[in-house]
Amino acid sequence: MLTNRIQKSWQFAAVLVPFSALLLWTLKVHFVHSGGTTLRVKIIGYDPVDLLSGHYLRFRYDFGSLPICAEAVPRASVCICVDLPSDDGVTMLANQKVECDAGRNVCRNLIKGTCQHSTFLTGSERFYFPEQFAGVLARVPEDSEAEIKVQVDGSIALTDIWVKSQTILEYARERL
Amino acid sequence: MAVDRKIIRKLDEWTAAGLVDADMKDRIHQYELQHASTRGFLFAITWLAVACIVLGVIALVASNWDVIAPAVKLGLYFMLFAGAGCTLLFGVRDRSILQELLRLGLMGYILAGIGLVAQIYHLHSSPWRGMVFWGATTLLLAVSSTTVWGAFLWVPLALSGWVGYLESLHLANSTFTAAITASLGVLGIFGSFPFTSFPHLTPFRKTTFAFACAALLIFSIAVPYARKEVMENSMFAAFMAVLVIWGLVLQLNRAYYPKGTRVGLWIFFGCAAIEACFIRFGQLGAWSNYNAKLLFTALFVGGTLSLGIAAFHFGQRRVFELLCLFIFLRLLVLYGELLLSLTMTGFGLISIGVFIFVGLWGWKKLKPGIYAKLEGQRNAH
Repeated sequence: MLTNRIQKSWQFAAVLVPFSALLLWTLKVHFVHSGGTTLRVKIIGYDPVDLLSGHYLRFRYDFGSLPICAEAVPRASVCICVDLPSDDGVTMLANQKVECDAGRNVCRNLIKGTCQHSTFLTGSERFYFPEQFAGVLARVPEDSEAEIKVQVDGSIALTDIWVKSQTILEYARERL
Repeated sequence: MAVDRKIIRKLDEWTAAGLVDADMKDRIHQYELQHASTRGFLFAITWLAVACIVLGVIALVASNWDVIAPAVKLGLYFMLFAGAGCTLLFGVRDRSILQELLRLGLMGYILAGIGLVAQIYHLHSSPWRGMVFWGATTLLLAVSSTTVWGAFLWVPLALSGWVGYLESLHLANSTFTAAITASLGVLGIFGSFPFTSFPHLTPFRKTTFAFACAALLIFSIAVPYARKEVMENSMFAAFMAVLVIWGLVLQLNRAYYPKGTRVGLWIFFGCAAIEACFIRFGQLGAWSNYNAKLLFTALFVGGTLSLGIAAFHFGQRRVFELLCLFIFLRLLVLYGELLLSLTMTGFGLISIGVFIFVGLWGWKKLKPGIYAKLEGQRNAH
């Protein structure tokens, strides 16, 4: 009888645990993507990749000419302060490197990442697009910008990519 | 689903011998009918159908349909998940095969869900994180699986996530290999506990045990080609510790494992340990190629044969036959490795073909005698 009861509890837990975990994780990701400051930053270096996980663009953010990864320890966190773009539309630029722990006290807009092979990466440099646009998005026009949500701790959530005044999916849809 | 013919035959034999009466025979027959074996051609086909559906769902998610809004995709996903979960818990409670298929399907569906969320929110993370998350959330599903398929799906994927995590720590090579060895050892040691109070754990722990034995077999096959640097101090220590603890666990559970199984496994572990010692301490560079190959092949044959006998004593005849085939193939590979010139290769290939025919004929002739002797040993223990 005890074994039966334990077995039934196992069965419930076996379904409830992954359902709850997946739901909570989805809600967490959604709230992170909804919160934070919305900004735009220029992107460079496109590398459309087809994988079983789907079609996506790989790129990196262009934070200007500050040598972010000079003397950086590989895989250690690196933080930068960024200037918000002015009204004439100049993209967001990094103005200094700071210690991540004290960064929030030093600058208003902090962005956190790591340096890998001399490239500053925030972990959000991937944009998934529908399979039907794979042919059009083999080459993306210049002056594309990523719309990002910057969190208080410096982490970034990518929400969209813009090509001038269109989202990249609108741009791709027009050229199908 | 029909009752296994072997069970029907046995029931007829026992009834004829007066061991069971007609009433008990009917009750056993009804019981087996309700708990029909999931090992069978029909189950394999239906499992294939479930696997196709799950892979199709993953491919659909990957194609990332633009016409469906992300919120709708997520809503549909979780609704279907809830529906499948309720069906598993309440809808097919008395139908073990459907339950099992739903369980396995859910494991794949959860993987598709992780991909869906990553795609909708453009998440970029190392693949191992997804695997670790999947492994953690589906562990109970895998453990509650009534066939070995749950564990066969779970163990390699969860292990790949774990290996990815270890790689992300950027450990020294020797520490990394020691950690992998210890992880595989934990699988084998866990699988060695019978957990008689929790019989539903049997398929899962049998699979972890089989994986660990398979890993040790692969070690035996690969070791002749390994360099001494592979078996550094921490790796060697972890390897020996795993074998010793594993052997002790078998002895602690001697009521569950027949003596033939325990002795066979100890000899298997012993051969692996000797191979590890030769790599670690032996001056193999000073040996001739011929002698080194002969040594490792002899250890492989001895260890694998012992593993096969251990499996036979545990009632796993097919495993015994499979391992005998491995031994035969390994001997053929050795023979091929020792051939030097084209002429020798020519004669060698011809004789390999002849060996195969002789081996098959010999197996057919000797099999009944070998089985009778092993059965005799098994019954004596």
